[in-house]
Amino acid sequence: MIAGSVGTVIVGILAGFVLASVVGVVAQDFGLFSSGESPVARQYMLGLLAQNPSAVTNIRPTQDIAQRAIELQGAQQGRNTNIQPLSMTYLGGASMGSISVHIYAVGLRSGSGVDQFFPLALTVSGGKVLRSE
Amino acid sequence: MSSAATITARTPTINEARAVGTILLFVLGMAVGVIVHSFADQGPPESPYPALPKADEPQAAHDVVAAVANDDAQALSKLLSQDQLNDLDTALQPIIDVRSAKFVGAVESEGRMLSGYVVQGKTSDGTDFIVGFVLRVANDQVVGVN
Repeated sequence: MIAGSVGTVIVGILAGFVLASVVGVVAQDFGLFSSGESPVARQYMLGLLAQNPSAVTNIRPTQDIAQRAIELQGAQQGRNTNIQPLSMTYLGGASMGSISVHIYAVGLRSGSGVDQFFPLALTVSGGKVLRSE
Repeated sequence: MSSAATITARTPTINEARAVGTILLFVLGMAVGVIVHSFADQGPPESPYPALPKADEPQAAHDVVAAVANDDAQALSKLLSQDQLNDLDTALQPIIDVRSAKFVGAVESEGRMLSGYVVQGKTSDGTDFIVGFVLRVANDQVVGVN
């Protein structure tokens, strides 16, 4: 009797956990909470500012070897020139179906002390950043 | 009433109580599962970089986006330079028919302002699409499109 009750509670916990995960993923993919910042977009931006391409490998469409080499080269040059991120601000975003757009403003200081302030718009779909411009 | 009859009469009640108890335990378990998930899923990772305070939409950028949203090429041609129009064209790709343009936020840093927009529309093959672009504003003028 007690074993059966404990088993029922455990099955319920697993079902609740899986259900919450599925609802979260579906809500994210279909933009049910479109006004919020996407964890995928945030992760991408943090990897970009840390000049760590490997941190965003799993949230980006597969790239060929030349593209990956170019990216690593760019990151290495960025580290050599000692670029320092100053700020990262999420401006906002919106969703349409499974596609969402998230816009950031980034402040950087180059090795020569010049401050730059520029935007990045990320297009996210299916848990991956499809476009960054 | 005989004891056999009493047992027969009580059995459905016991079974119902047991079924209700099982359902309640399952629902309780589900609630615990959802709570555990909310702790396990921490959402976006914390940013180590500070965020700038949001600003109001600059009027110059608002006028440009109003022209885009109203499909008013005449007004747009007076508001942006040719280079900026080319940049806007690139930013709107692959949308060719704008249905709506929404301001999402703006920030300002040392006199330079970035004003972000999300545009919804249709591509050349009629597919609904969404893109984002940003207008750079300085001295109350649009000075760039990203």
